[in-house]
Amino acid sequence: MKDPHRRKAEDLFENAWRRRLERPVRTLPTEAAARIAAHVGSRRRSPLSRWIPLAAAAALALAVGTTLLRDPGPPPLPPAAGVPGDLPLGEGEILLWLDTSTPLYMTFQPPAAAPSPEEKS
Amino acid sequence: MSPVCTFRSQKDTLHTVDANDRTLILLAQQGDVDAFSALVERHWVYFVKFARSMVGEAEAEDVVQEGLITAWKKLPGLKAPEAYVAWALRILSRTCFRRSRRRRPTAPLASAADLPDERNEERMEAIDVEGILAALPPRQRAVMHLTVMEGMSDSQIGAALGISAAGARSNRRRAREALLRLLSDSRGGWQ
Repeated sequence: MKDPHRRKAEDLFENAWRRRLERPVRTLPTEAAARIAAHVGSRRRSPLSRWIPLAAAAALALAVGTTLLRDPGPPPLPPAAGVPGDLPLGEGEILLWLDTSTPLYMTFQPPAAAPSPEEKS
Repeated sequence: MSPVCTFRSQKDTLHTVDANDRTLILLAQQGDVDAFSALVERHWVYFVKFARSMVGEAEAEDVVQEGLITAWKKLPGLKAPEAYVAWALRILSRTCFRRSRRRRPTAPLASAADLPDERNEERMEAIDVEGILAALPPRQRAVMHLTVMEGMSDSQIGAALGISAAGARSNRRRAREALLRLLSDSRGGWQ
């Protein structure tokens, strides 16, 4: 059986607790509701609101992708120092850089004239 | 055998969601601020009482406001409007857990208990209810409030706090033991 003093203290505490909770609220429900509505109203959510960030991200990704595809790429690399990349090119010569230190000179010549029928015989 | 502190609920009915609430919740989920405002008004006092048990009188209303603003942001994710109260309590309890600071009771219960019965009003005012509750871990405090003040079942408490029914039982048992110790300490011993 429970100690009557203990039971008395428990009852006393529980009643005091309930009494504290029953005290009137400092902010009336109408005032609280208006305050919270003002707060959330300034951040009013529309049904589309959650799609807006997604649409913005997609548009940005599309713009970046399009720009990258149209970009001709970086300008050709300049010849490295000490490589004879600036030698004057002769007629029919072209210079290709295989990498920054490897030039490739190519010479184009017109095809030789076709032999005459007499020469063939 | 450990002593058991048997708190009884004086509530007959639980705080629930009615048809009007349901309509307001559905509108608020579509972004209707006025509907949410009406919902806040209907449940304000109930939530403030919970917060008073959790964080004390001084901070209770601020905490409820913070919790309800969070609830507004998460409202579209609420699947069943009938679960609004338990769902909002869960958000509010998390807000309270962040604010909760444990402390020892500052005024002894002895002075109150020793006063004669005819001075009952004075006795209850003398009890440091907030101090005694604040000495409990926040989850135990929440379980005790929902048990003693709201008369909720273990499964209802579990739903409101995001724990199992067994977890609610376990928290309540520990809370009762702790309260008994606190009451005994402040009484200066019962024997």
